[in-house]
Amino acid sequence: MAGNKKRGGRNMDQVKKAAVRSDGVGGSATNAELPMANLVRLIKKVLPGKAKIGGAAKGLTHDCAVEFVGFVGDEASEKAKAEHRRTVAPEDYLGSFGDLGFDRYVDPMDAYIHGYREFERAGGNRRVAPPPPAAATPLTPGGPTFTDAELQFLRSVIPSRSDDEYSGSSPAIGGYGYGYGYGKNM
Amino acid sequence: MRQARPYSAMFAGGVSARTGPHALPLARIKKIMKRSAGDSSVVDGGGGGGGGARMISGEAPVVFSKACELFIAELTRRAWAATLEGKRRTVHKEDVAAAVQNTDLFDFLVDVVTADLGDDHTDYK
Repeated sequence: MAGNKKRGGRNMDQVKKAAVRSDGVGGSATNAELPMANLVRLIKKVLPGKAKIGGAAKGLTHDCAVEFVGFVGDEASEKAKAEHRRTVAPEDYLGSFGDLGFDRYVDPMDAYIHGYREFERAGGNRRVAPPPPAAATPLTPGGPTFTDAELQFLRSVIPSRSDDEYSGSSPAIGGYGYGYGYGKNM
Repeated sequence: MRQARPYSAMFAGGVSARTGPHALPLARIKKIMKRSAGDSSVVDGGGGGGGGARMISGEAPVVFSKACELFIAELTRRAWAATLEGKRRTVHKEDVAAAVQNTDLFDFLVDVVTADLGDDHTDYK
């Protein structure tokens, strides 16, 4: 009886609110309990891409969501009071979901609240992402160096001196066509 | 650039700047919950005036933020089923009302949808 009376009272508020909303277009924005943009975003996530939502359907869904919060919140508040506690804890709401028939909501809610607590322990929204490691590309200060094969190639293409400088000796003996010094050493 | 949150896989939507990781603002949900707690306290004012559960934990709106998402998703899905029965692609108010009336779980919403439909009929006249 008391519960019905209470629920009737809440519905009276809803009726008055609906009456106020129907008078003007601007009134709906002022009296909205939840922001309509967030609600519409949630609705469109569920429906396929080709679906459209009428304005009246958005308003009715919003009223149902507000009623849902009040309904479950009221049950949780009574539960906490029955146990002589002045603060309503999230576990009270989980119990209320089970009592009111929303059994499929309890497990996701439990996992969500645990994830949220771990998130808060990790630092919450204030945590700053660490900067990515700098991929330094050092420039080589030294100049390029040649390999042995390249050195041999360079030596082979160096033009030898004129034959008139070797008039006193035969180049076949040394086996090289290089300078005078090399011939003497060999 | 921002790293993914530890439980970011729990919801498909992105992170908005205004409400953080939650799809609905927590302050609004807390206001509705406090109004509900206030009603409870007022009704039982004679018996337990000072003993009413008026304080709400800081984590409670977080639970309700996710619960509201699930509730809105379920209600919208059932309304879409009613829309498909009518061979339409636009969800009307009557589809939401039909979804509420066809589901025993949503019995507490019958008065809300009936009131809205009543207003609708009044507007028609």
